[in-house]
Amino acid sequence: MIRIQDLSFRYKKKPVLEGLNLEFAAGHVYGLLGQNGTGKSSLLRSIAGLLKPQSGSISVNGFRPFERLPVFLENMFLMPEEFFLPDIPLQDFIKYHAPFYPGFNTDQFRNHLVAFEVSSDTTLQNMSYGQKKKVLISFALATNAKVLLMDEPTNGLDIMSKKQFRKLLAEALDEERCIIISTHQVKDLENLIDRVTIIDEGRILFDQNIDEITKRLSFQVAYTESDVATAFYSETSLAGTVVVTPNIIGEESKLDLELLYKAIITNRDKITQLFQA
Amino acid sequence: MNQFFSFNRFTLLVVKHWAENKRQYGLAVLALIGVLIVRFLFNMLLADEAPMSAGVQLGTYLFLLFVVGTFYASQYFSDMGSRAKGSNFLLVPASIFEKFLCSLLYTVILFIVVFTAVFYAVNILMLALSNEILGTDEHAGRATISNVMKASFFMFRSNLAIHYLFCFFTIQSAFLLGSIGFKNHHYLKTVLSVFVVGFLLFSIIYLIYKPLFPGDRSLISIPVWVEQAFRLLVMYVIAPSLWIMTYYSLKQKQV
Repeated sequence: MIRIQDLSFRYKKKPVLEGLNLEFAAGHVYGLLGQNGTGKSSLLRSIAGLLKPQSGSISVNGFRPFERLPVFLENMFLMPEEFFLPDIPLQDFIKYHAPFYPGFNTDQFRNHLVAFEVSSDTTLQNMSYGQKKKVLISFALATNAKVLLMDEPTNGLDIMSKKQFRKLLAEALDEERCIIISTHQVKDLENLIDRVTIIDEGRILFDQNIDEITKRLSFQVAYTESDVATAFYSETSLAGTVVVTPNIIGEESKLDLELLYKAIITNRDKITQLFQA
Repeated sequence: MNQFFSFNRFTLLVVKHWAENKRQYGLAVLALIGVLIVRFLFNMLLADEAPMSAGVQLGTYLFLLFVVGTFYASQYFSDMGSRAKGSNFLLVPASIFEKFLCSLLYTVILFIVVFTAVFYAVNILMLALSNEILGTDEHAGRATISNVMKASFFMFRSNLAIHYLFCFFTIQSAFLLGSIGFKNHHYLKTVLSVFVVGFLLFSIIYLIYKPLFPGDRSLISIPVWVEQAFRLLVMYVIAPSLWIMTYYSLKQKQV
Protein backbone atom coordinates (compact mmCIF):
# COMPACT_ATOMS: atom_id res chain seq x y z
CA MET A 1 0.00 0.00 0.00
CA ILE A 2 2.75 2.47 0.97
CA ARG A 3 6.28 1.92 -0.25
CA ILE A 4 9.10 4.25 0.72
CA GLN A 5 12.45 3.76 -0.97
CA ASP A 6 15.65 5.52 -0.01
CA LEU A 7 13.74 8.63 1.02
CA SER A 8 15.78 11.68 2.02
CA PHE A 9 14.66 15.15 2.92
CA ARG A 10 16.47 18.20 4.31
CA TYR A 11 15.29 21.55 5.63
CA LYS A 12 17.84 24.00 4.26
CA LYS A 13 21.05 22.20 5.24
CA LYS A 14 19.70 20.15 8.13
CA PRO A 15 18.98 16.52 7.22
CA VAL A 16 15.54 15.44 8.45
CA LEU A 17 15.07 12.08 6.73
CA GLU A 18 18.02 10.06 5.47
CA GLY A 19 17.74 7.04 3.19
CA LEU A 20 14.51 5.71 4.69
CA ASN A 21 13.16 2.38 3.44
CA LEU A 22 9.76 1.36 4.78
CA GLU A 23 6.64 -0.49 3.74
CA PHE A 24 3.19 -0.14 5.23
CA ALA A 25 0.47 -2.63 4.35
CA ALA A 26 -3.31 -2.42 4.53
CA GLY A 27 -5.06 -3.93 7.54
CA HIS A 28 -2.51 -2.72 10.09
CA VAL A 29 -2.02 0.07 12.59
CA TYR A 30 1.56 1.31 12.62
CA GLY A 31 3.13 3.23 15.46
CA LEU A 32 5.78 5.73 14.48
CA LEU A 33 7.72 6.53 17.61
CA GLY A 34 10.54 8.90 18.30
CA GLN A 35 11.58 11.99 20.15
CA ASN A 36 10.49 15.47 19.08
CA GLY A 37 12.20 16.67 15.92
CA THR A 38 13.39 13.26 14.76
CA GLY A 39 11.52 13.35 11.46
CA LYS A 40 8.21 11.61 12.27
CA SER A 41 6.04 14.52 11.15
CA SER A 42 8.17 15.09 8.04
CA LEU A 43 7.71 11.44 7.11
CA LEU A 44 3.92 11.70 7.48
CA ARG A 45 3.83 14.97 5.52
CA SER A 46 5.92 13.35 2.78
CA ILE A 47 3.48 10.42 2.59
CA ALA A 48 0.57 12.90 2.45
CA GLY A 49 2.15 14.84 -0.42
CA LEU A 50 2.93 18.02 1.48
CA LEU A 51 6.68 17.58 1.11
CA LYS A 52 8.56 16.62 -2.04
CA PRO A 53 11.20 13.93 -1.60
CA GLN A 54 14.62 15.34 -2.39
CA SER A 55 15.80 11.86 -3.24
CA GLY A 56 14.20 8.45 -3.22
CA SER A 57 10.54 7.76 -3.84
CA ILE A 58 7.19 7.28 -2.16
CA SER A 59 4.33 5.31 -3.63
CA VAL A 60 0.89 5.29 -2.00
CA ASN A 61 -1.60 2.96 -3.66
CA GLY A 62 0.40 3.40 -6.84
CA PHE A 63 0.28 7.22 -6.68
CA ARG A 64 3.13 9.63 -6.16
CA PRO A 65 1.79 11.73 -3.25
CA PHE A 66 3.38 15.04 -4.25
CA GLU A 67 1.33 15.10 -7.46
CA ARG A 68 -1.61 15.65 -5.09
CA LEU A 69 -4.17 14.19 -7.50
CA PRO A 70 -7.77 14.38 -6.26
CA VAL A 71 -8.15 10.59 -6.53
CA PHE A 72 -5.18 10.22 -4.15
CA LEU A 73 -6.31 12.94 -1.75
CA GLU A 74 -9.85 11.64 -1.40
CA ASN A 75 -8.50 8.30 -0.19
CA MET A 76 -5.89 9.68 2.19
CA PHE A 77 -6.41 11.75 5.30
CA LEU A 78 -3.68 13.43 7.29
CA MET A 79 -4.47 14.67 10.77
CA PRO A 80 -1.55 17.02 11.41
CA GLU A 81 -0.35 17.95 14.89
CA GLU A 82 -0.85 21.62 14.04
CA PHE A 83 -4.23 21.71 12.38
CA PHE A 84 -6.66 24.36 11.22
CA LEU A 85 -10.43 24.30 11.27
CA PRO A 86 -12.39 27.20 9.73
CA ASP A 87 -14.53 29.50 11.83
CA ILE A 88 -17.89 28.05 10.78
CA PRO A 89 -20.66 26.02 12.49
CA LEU A 90 -19.87 22.33 12.78
CA GLN A 91 -22.88 21.49 10.60
CA ASP A 92 -21.51 23.69 7.83
CA PHE A 93 -18.08 22.12 8.18
CA ILE A 94 -19.58 18.75 7.37
CA LYS A 95 -21.84 20.15 4.68
CA TYR A 96 -18.97 21.75 2.75
CA HIS A 97 -16.06 19.39 3.47
CA ALA A 98 -17.62 15.92 3.45
CA PRO A 99 -18.63 15.94 -0.28
CA PHE A 100 -14.95 15.90 -1.25
CA TYR A 101 -14.63 12.40 0.25
CA PRO A 102 -16.67 9.77 -1.63
CA GLY A 103 -16.50 7.34 1.30
CA PHE A 104 -17.65 9.84 3.92
CA ASN A 105 -20.31 8.48 6.27
CA THR A 106 -22.28 11.17 8.09
CA ASP A 107 -23.89 8.74 10.55
CA GLN A 108 -20.48 7.42 11.45
CA PHE A 109 -19.25 11.00 12.04
CA ARG A 110 -22.22 11.77 14.31
CA ASN A 111 -21.67 8.55 16.27
CA HIS A 112 -18.03 9.45 16.81
CA LEU A 113 -19.02 12.89 18.06
CA VAL A 114 -21.48 11.30 20.48
CA ALA A 115 -18.74 8.94 21.70
CA PHE A 116 -16.47 11.93 22.28
CA GLU A 117 -19.34 13.88 23.90
CA VAL A 118 -19.02 16.78 21.46
CA SER A 119 -22.16 18.74 20.66
CA SER A 120 -22.82 19.08 16.94
CA ASP A 121 -24.72 22.37 17.38
CA THR A 122 -21.76 24.60 17.89
CA THR A 123 -19.25 26.72 16.01
CA LEU A 124 -15.77 25.36 15.58
CA GLN A 125 -14.23 28.61 16.75
CA ASN A 126 -15.95 28.31 20.14
CA MET A 127 -14.39 24.92 20.78
CA SER A 128 -11.33 24.19 22.87
CA TYR A 129 -8.25 22.64 21.26
CA GLY A 130 -9.22 19.21 22.61
CA GLN A 131 -12.77 19.48 21.25
CA LYS A 132 -11.49 20.55 17.83
CA LYS A 133 -9.17 17.57 17.87
CA LYS A 134 -12.09 15.26 18.61
CA VAL A 135 -13.99 16.76 15.66
CA LEU A 136 -11.00 16.20 13.41
CA ILE A 137 -10.52 12.61 14.60
CA SER A 138 -14.23 11.95 14.02
CA PHE A 139 -14.03 13.48 10.57
CA ALA A 140 -10.84 11.59 9.69
CA LEU A 141 -12.39 8.25 10.64
CA ALA A 142 -15.67 9.04 8.88
CA THR A 143 -13.92 9.77 5.55
CA ASN A 144 -13.17 6.03 5.37
CA ALA A 145 -9.96 6.96 3.60
CA LYS A 146 -7.78 3.96 2.87
CA VAL A 147 -4.72 5.69 4.29
CA LEU A 148 -5.06 7.44 7.62
CA LEU A 149 -2.09 9.39 8.91
CA MET A 150 -2.27 10.79 12.43
CA ASP A 151 0.40 13.02 13.91
CA GLU A 152 0.27 13.11 17.73
CA PRO A 153 -3.49 12.41 17.76
CA THR A 154 -3.76 12.11 21.54
CA ASN A 155 -2.10 15.46 22.30
CA GLY A 156 -4.67 17.64 24.02
CA LEU A 157 -7.11 14.79 24.73
CA ASP A 158 -8.19 14.05 28.29
CA ILE A 159 -7.83 10.54 29.75
CA MET A 160 -11.37 9.41 28.90
CA SER A 161 -11.10 10.77 25.37
CA LYS A 162 -7.81 8.92 24.85
CA LYS A 163 -9.58 5.72 25.83
CA GLN A 164 -12.42 6.54 23.43
CA PHE A 165 -9.90 7.31 20.69
CA ARG A 166 -8.26 3.91 21.06
CA LYS A 167 -11.69 2.24 20.93
CA LEU A 168 -12.81 4.11 17.81
CA LEU A 169 -9.54 3.48 16.04
CA ALA A 170 -9.68 -0.24 16.77
CA GLU A 171 -13.20 -0.31 15.33
CA ALA A 172 -12.15 1.67 12.28
CA LEU A 173 -9.45 -0.73 11.18
CA ASP A 174 -10.36 -3.06 8.36
CA GLU A 175 -8.44 -5.13 5.83
CA GLU A 176 -8.30 -2.30 3.28
CA ARG A 177 -7.17 0.41 5.62
CA CYS A 178 -3.69 1.40 6.69
CA ILE A 179 -3.34 3.60 9.76
CA ILE A 180 -0.05 5.22 10.72
CA ILE A 181 0.15 7.02 14.03
CA SER A 182 3.09 9.16 14.98
CA THR A 183 3.55 9.96 18.63
CA HIS A 184 6.01 10.48 21.43
CA GLN A 185 3.31 9.53 23.95
CA VAL A 186 3.93 5.84 23.44
CA LYS A 187 1.60 4.70 26.23
CA ASP A 188 -1.38 5.98 24.25
CA LEU A 189 -0.80 3.43 21.50
CA GLU A 190 -0.61 0.35 23.66
CA ASN A 191 -2.87 -2.50 22.54
CA LEU A 192 -3.57 -0.58 19.35
CA ILE A 193 -0.61 -0.92 17.01
CA ASP A 194 0.69 -4.06 15.40
CA ARG A 195 4.03 -2.75 14.19
CA VAL A 196 6.48 -0.39 15.85
CA THR A 197 8.78 1.87 13.86
CA ILE A 198 11.18 4.05 15.79
CA ILE A 199 12.83 6.94 14.01
CA ASP A 200 15.83 8.80 15.33
CA GLU A 201 17.59 11.63 13.55
CA GLY A 202 15.89 10.77 10.28
CA ARG A 203 16.89 7.10 10.29
CA ILE A 204 15.03 3.92 11.17
CA LEU A 205 16.21 2.78 14.56
CA PHE A 206 13.84 -0.14 14.93
CA ASP A 207 11.05 -1.60 12.82
CA GLN A 208 9.32 -4.79 14.03
CA ASN A 209 5.91 -6.40 14.38
CA ILE A 210 4.41 -6.61 17.87
CA ASP A 211 4.28 -10.43 17.62
CA GLU A 212 7.98 -10.56 16.85
CA ILE A 213 8.79 -8.17 19.67
CA THR A 214 6.94 -10.18 22.33
CA LYS A 215 8.47 -13.37 20.95
CA ARG A 216 12.00 -12.04 21.37
CA LEU A 217 11.74 -9.66 24.30
CA SER A 218 10.31 -10.03 27.75
CA PHE A 219 8.81 -7.17 29.80
CA GLN A 220 8.56 -8.08 33.47
CA VAL A 221 9.36 -7.26 37.05
CA ALA A 222 12.85 -8.47 37.94
CA TYR A 223 12.91 -11.29 40.44
CA THR A 224 16.65 -11.70 40.80
CA GLU A 225 19.70 -9.51 40.47
CA SER A 226 20.78 -11.45 37.40
CA ASP A 227 17.53 -10.36 35.71
CA VAL A 228 18.64 -6.77 36.15
CA ALA A 229 22.20 -7.56 35.12
CA THR A 230 21.17 -9.20 31.84
CA ALA A 231 18.45 -6.65 31.04
CA PHE A 232 18.61 -4.39 27.99
CA TYR A 233 16.89 -1.81 30.14
CA SER A 234 15.76 -1.60 33.75
CA GLU A 235 13.71 0.93 35.63
CA THR A 236 12.89 1.06 39.31
CA SER A 237 9.38 1.94 40.37
CA LEU A 238 7.20 1.42 43.44
CA ALA A 239 6.19 -2.00 42.11
CA GLY A 240 9.82 -3.05 41.90
CA THR A 241 12.40 -3.06 39.12
CA VAL A 242 10.90 -3.60 35.70
CA VAL A 243 13.21 -4.96 33.04
CA VAL A 244 13.38 -5.61 29.32
CA THR A 245 15.26 -8.86 28.78
CA PRO A 246 15.72 -11.35 25.97
CA ASN A 247 12.76 -13.77 25.98
CA ILE A 248 14.69 -16.94 26.69
CA ILE A 249 11.89 -19.14 27.98
CA GLY A 250 9.61 -18.35 25.05
CA GLU A 251 6.72 -17.20 27.20
CA GLU A 252 5.11 -14.06 25.79
CA SER A 253 4.72 -11.11 28.17
CA LYS A 254 2.61 -8.01 27.80
CA LEU A 255 4.38 -5.43 25.65
CA ASP A 256 5.22 -2.21 27.42
CA LEU A 257 5.80 0.28 24.61
CA GLU A 258 7.42 2.85 26.84
CA LEU A 259 9.95 0.36 28.17
CA LEU A 260 10.61 -0.93 24.67
CA TYR A 261 11.20 2.59 23.44
CA LYS A 262 13.61 3.39 26.27
CA ALA A 263 15.41 0.07 25.81
CA ILE A 264 15.95 0.75 22.12
CA ILE A 265 17.11 4.31 22.69
CA THR A 266 19.62 3.20 25.36
CA ASN A 267 20.68 -0.19 24.02
CA ARG A 268 20.02 -0.16 20.32
CA ASP A 269 22.89 -2.33 19.08
CA LYS A 270 22.22 -5.28 21.39
CA ILE A 271 18.51 -5.29 20.60
CA THR A 272 19.18 -5.05 16.87
CA GLN A 273 21.54 -8.02 17.14
CA LEU A 274 18.86 -10.01 18.97
CA PHE A 275 16.34 -9.39 16.18
CA GLN A 276 18.86 -10.18 13.47
CA ALA A 277 19.77 -13.50 15.05
CA MET B 1 -13.23 11.39 -12.97
CA ASN B 2 -10.85 13.81 -14.68
CA GLN B 3 -7.90 14.52 -12.40
CA PHE B 4 -7.11 17.92 -13.93
CA PHE B 5 -10.53 19.53 -13.92
CA SER B 6 -13.97 18.43 -12.81
CA PHE B 7 -16.82 20.92 -12.80
CA ASN B 8 -18.38 19.14 -9.82
CA ARG B 9 -15.23 19.41 -7.70
CA PHE B 10 -14.69 23.01 -8.82
CA THR B 11 -18.23 23.91 -7.74
CA LEU B 12 -17.66 22.24 -4.36
CA LEU B 13 -14.47 24.24 -3.95
CA VAL B 14 -16.14 27.55 -4.84
CA VAL B 15 -19.02 26.89 -2.43
CA LYS B 16 -16.62 25.79 0.33
CA HIS B 17 -14.53 28.94 -0.09
CA TRP B 18 -17.65 31.07 0.14
CA ALA B 19 -18.92 29.25 3.24
CA GLU B 20 -15.60 29.72 5.01
CA ASN B 21 -15.07 33.35 4.04
CA LYS B 22 -18.52 34.91 3.72
CA ARG B 23 -18.25 36.70 7.07
CA GLN B 24 -14.93 38.32 6.19
CA TYR B 25 -16.23 39.21 2.74
CA GLY B 26 -19.36 40.75 4.26
CA LEU B 27 -17.23 42.86 6.60
CA ALA B 28 -14.94 43.85 3.73
CA VAL B 29 -17.91 45.05 1.67
CA LEU B 30 -19.19 47.08 4.64
CA ALA B 31 -15.71 48.58 5.09
CA LEU B 32 -15.60 49.49 1.40
CA ILE B 33 -19.00 51.15 1.63
CA GLY B 34 -17.76 53.11 4.65
CA VAL B 35 -14.58 54.25 2.89
CA LEU B 36 -16.54 55.36 -0.19
CA ILE B 37 -19.09 57.31 1.87
CA VAL B 38 -16.35 59.03 3.89
CA ARG B 39 -14.37 59.83 0.75
CA PHE B 40 -17.37 61.41 -1.05
CA LEU B 41 -18.60 63.21 2.06
CA PHE B 42 -15.18 64.77 2.61
CA ASN B 43 -15.15 65.91 -0.97
CA MET B 44 -18.59 67.47 -0.61
CA LEU B 45 -17.45 69.30 2.50
CA LEU B 46 -14.04 70.39 1.25
CA ALA B 47 -14.24 70.79 -2.53
CA ASP B 48 -15.02 74.25 -3.81
CA GLU B 49 -16.89 73.04 -6.80
CA ALA B 50 -18.14 69.85 -8.44
CA PRO B 51 -17.42 67.43 -5.55
CA MET B 52 -18.93 64.56 -7.49
CA SER B 53 -17.47 65.34 -10.88
CA ALA B 54 -16.65 62.60 -13.37
CA GLY B 55 -12.98 62.97 -12.46
CA VAL B 56 -13.67 62.46 -8.76
CA GLN B 57 -15.81 59.40 -9.43
CA LEU B 58 -13.30 57.87 -11.80
CA GLY B 59 -10.31 58.69 -9.59
CA THR B 60 -11.99 57.17 -6.56
CA TYR B 61 -12.98 54.05 -8.49
CA LEU B 62 -9.53 53.48 -9.96
CA PHE B 63 -7.59 54.24 -6.77
CA LEU B 64 -9.69 51.89 -4.66
CA LEU B 65 -9.83 49.25 -7.39
CA PHE B 66 -6.04 49.04 -7.46
CA VAL B 67 -5.51 49.31 -3.70
CA VAL B 68 -8.29 46.95 -2.59
CA GLY B 69 -7.86 44.56 -5.52
CA THR B 70 -4.14 44.12 -5.00
CA PHE B 71 -4.53 43.78 -1.24
CA TYR B 72 -7.23 41.11 -1.66
CA ALA B 73 -5.08 39.19 -4.15
CA SER B 74 -2.09 39.41 -1.80
CA GLN B 75 -4.13 37.68 0.90
CA TYR B 76 -5.68 34.87 -1.14
CA PHE B 77 -2.88 32.32 -0.80
CA SER B 78 -1.36 33.85 2.32
CA ASP B 79 -2.52 30.79 4.29
CA MET B 80 0.33 28.93 2.62
CA GLY B 81 2.65 30.74 5.02
CA SER B 82 1.12 28.76 7.88
CA ARG B 83 1.78 25.04 8.10
CA ALA B 84 -1.64 24.30 9.59
CA LYS B 85 -3.66 26.38 7.13
CA GLY B 86 -1.46 25.44 4.20
CA SER B 87 -1.91 21.72 4.89
CA ASN B 88 -5.64 22.22 5.19
CA PHE B 89 -5.74 23.95 1.80
CA LEU B 90 -3.42 21.65 -0.12
CA LEU B 91 -5.00 18.43 1.14
CA VAL B 92 -8.55 19.25 0.05
CA PRO B 93 -9.31 16.61 -2.59
CA ALA B 94 -9.43 18.92 -5.60
CA SER B 95 -6.83 19.42 -8.31
CA ILE B 96 -4.26 22.22 -8.17
CA PHE B 97 -5.83 23.66 -11.32
CA GLU B 98 -9.27 23.77 -9.68
CA LYS B 99 -7.80 25.52 -6.62
CA PHE B 100 -5.99 27.99 -8.84
CA LEU B 101 -9.08 28.62 -10.97
CA CYS B 102 -11.08 29.22 -7.80
CA SER B 103 -8.56 31.90 -6.81
CA LEU B 104 -9.01 33.64 -10.19
CA LEU B 105 -12.79 33.42 -9.93
CA TYR B 106 -12.77 35.18 -6.57
CA THR B 107 -9.89 37.65 -6.90
CA VAL B 108 -10.46 38.65 -10.51
CA ILE B 109 -13.99 38.05 -11.73
CA LEU B 110 -16.13 38.21 -8.59
CA PHE B 111 -13.97 40.97 -7.13
CA ILE B 112 -14.48 43.25 -10.16
CA VAL B 113 -18.22 42.55 -10.24
CA VAL B 114 -18.80 43.08 -6.51
CA PHE B 115 -16.43 46.05 -6.27
CA THR B 116 -18.08 47.82 -9.22
CA ALA B 117 -21.59 47.05 -7.93
CA VAL B 118 -20.75 48.40 -4.46
CA PHE B 119 -19.06 51.46 -5.96
CA TYR B 120 -22.09 52.31 -8.08
CA ALA B 121 -24.56 51.67 -5.27
CA VAL B 122 -22.72 54.18 -3.03
CA ASN B 123 -21.96 56.50 -5.92
CA ILE B 124 -25.62 56.80 -6.93
CA LEU B 125 -26.66 57.53 -3.34
CA MET B 126 -23.90 60.06 -2.73
CA LEU B 127 -24.58 61.69 -6.06
CA ALA B 128 -28.24 62.10 -5.18
CA LEU B 129 -27.20 63.57 -1.83
CA SER B 130 -24.69 65.89 -3.46
CA ASN B 131 -27.20 67.12 -6.02
CA GLU B 132 -29.80 67.60 -3.30
CA ILE B 133 -27.45 69.71 -1.19
CA LEU B 134 -25.32 71.46 -3.79
CA GLY B 135 -27.48 71.18 -6.87
CA THR B 136 -28.67 74.76 -6.64
CA ASP B 137 -25.15 76.07 -6.16
CA GLU B 138 -24.24 77.86 -9.37
CA HIS B 139 -20.57 76.80 -9.12
CA ALA B 140 -21.14 73.19 -8.28
CA GLY B 141 -23.85 72.39 -10.75
CA ARG B 142 -25.62 69.02 -10.96
CA ALA B 143 -23.34 66.03 -11.30
CA THR B 144 -24.27 62.91 -13.21
CA ILE B 145 -23.28 59.30 -12.90
CA SER B 146 -19.93 58.78 -14.57
CA ASN B 147 -19.15 55.70 -16.58
CA VAL B 148 -16.04 54.40 -14.83
CA MET B 149 -15.65 51.84 -17.54
CA LYS B 150 -14.49 54.64 -19.86
CA ALA B 151 -11.12 55.81 -18.71
CA SER B 152 -7.93 57.02 -20.25
CA PHE B 153 -4.72 57.38 -18.36
CA PHE B 154 -1.01 56.94 -18.83
CA MET B 155 -0.53 55.17 -22.16
CA PHE B 156 -3.92 53.48 -22.02
CA ARG B 157 -5.69 56.18 -23.98
CA SER B 158 -8.93 54.58 -24.84
CA ASN B 159 -12.56 54.73 -24.05
CA LEU B 160 -12.63 51.02 -23.44
CA ALA B 161 -12.61 49.78 -19.88
CA ILE B 162 -10.98 46.60 -21.04
CA HIS B 163 -7.70 48.52 -21.38
CA TYR B 164 -7.33 49.63 -17.80
CA LEU B 165 -8.91 46.44 -16.51
CA PHE B 166 -6.16 44.52 -18.26
CA CYS B 167 -3.60 46.85 -16.69
CA PHE B 168 -5.24 46.15 -13.32
CA PHE B 169 -5.12 42.39 -13.92
CA THR B 170 -1.39 42.69 -14.63
CA ILE B 171 -0.64 44.48 -11.37
CA GLN B 172 -3.03 42.25 -9.43
CA SER B 173 -1.53 39.04 -10.84
CA ALA B 174 1.81 40.05 -9.32
CA PHE B 175 0.11 40.28 -5.91
CA LEU B 176 -1.56 36.89 -6.35
CA LEU B 177 1.85 35.40 -7.07
CA GLY B 178 3.28 37.28 -4.07
CA SER B 179 0.61 35.77 -1.82
CA ILE B 180 2.04 32.32 -2.49
CA GLY B 181 5.67 33.27 -3.08
CA PHE B 182 6.23 35.06 0.22
CA LYS B 183 5.84 33.42 3.59
CA ASN B 184 4.64 36.56 5.36
CA HIS B 185 4.07 40.33 4.84
CA HIS B 186 2.77 39.42 1.40
CA TYR B 187 1.43 42.85 0.45
CA LEU B 188 4.47 44.89 1.47
CA LYS B 189 6.94 42.45 0.00
CA THR B 190 5.05 42.37 -3.31
CA VAL B 191 4.89 46.18 -3.43
CA LEU B 192 8.66 46.28 -2.91
CA SER B 193 9.22 43.58 -5.52
CA VAL B 194 7.08 45.39 -8.09
CA PHE B 195 9.08 48.58 -7.47
CA VAL B 196 12.40 46.75 -7.69
CA VAL B 197 11.41 45.02 -10.94
CA GLY B 198 10.08 48.33 -12.31
CA PHE B 199 13.29 50.12 -11.37
CA LEU B 200 15.45 47.40 -12.93
CA LEU B 201 13.37 47.50 -16.11
CA PHE B 202 13.73 51.29 -16.28
CA SER B 203 17.49 51.05 -15.65
CA ILE B 204 17.98 48.43 -18.34
CA ILE B 205 16.06 50.50 -20.90
CA TYR B 206 18.05 53.60 -19.87
CA LEU B 207 21.40 51.79 -20.12
CA ILE B 208 20.55 50.44 -23.55
CA TYR B 209 19.00 53.68 -24.85
CA LYS B 210 21.61 56.26 -23.77
CA PRO B 211 24.62 54.91 -25.75
CA LEU B 212 22.40 54.52 -28.83
CA PHE B 213 21.10 58.11 -28.74
CA PRO B 214 23.74 60.20 -26.94
CA GLY B 215 22.37 63.54 -28.16
CA ASP B 216 18.85 62.99 -26.88
CA ARG B 217 18.36 65.25 -23.85
CA SER B 218 15.30 63.51 -22.53
CA LEU B 219 15.87 60.85 -19.89
CA ILE B 220 14.26 58.18 -22.02
CA SER B 221 12.34 58.71 -25.24
CA ILE B 222 10.57 55.53 -26.18
CA PRO B 223 9.89 54.94 -29.90
CA VAL B 224 6.23 54.44 -30.80
CA TRP B 225 6.64 50.79 -31.71
CA VAL B 226 8.33 50.08 -28.34
CA GLU B 227 5.51 51.89 -26.55
CA GLN B 228 2.93 49.82 -28.41
CA ALA B 229 4.81 46.61 -27.70
CA PHE B 230 5.09 47.59 -24.03
CA ARG B 231 1.37 48.28 -23.86
CA LEU B 232 0.56 44.92 -25.42
CA LEU B 233 2.96 43.27 -22.99
CA VAL B 234 1.37 44.92 -19.96
CA MET B 235 -2.15 44.18 -21.16
CA TYR B 236 -1.94 40.67 -22.56
CA VAL B 237 1.31 38.93 -21.67
CA ILE B 238 2.37 39.71 -18.11
CA ALA B 239 -0.87 38.75 -16.31
CA PRO B 240 -1.25 35.31 -17.97
CA SER B 241 2.47 34.68 -17.42
CA LEU B 242 2.21 35.51 -13.73
CA TRP B 243 -0.94 33.39 -13.42
CA ILE B 244 0.94 30.45 -14.92
CA MET B 245 3.76 31.08 -12.45
CA THR B 246 1.21 31.17 -9.61
CA TYR B 247 -0.23 27.84 -10.77
CA TYR B 248 3.20 26.21 -10.80
CA SER B 249 4.13 27.77 -7.45
CA LEU B 250 0.97 26.23 -6.01
CA LYS B 251 1.80 22.90 -7.63
CA GLN B 252 5.30 22.91 -6.12
CA LYS B 253 4.28 24.35 -2.76
CA GLN B 254 5.54 22.43 0.27
CA VAL B 255 4.30 23.01 3.80
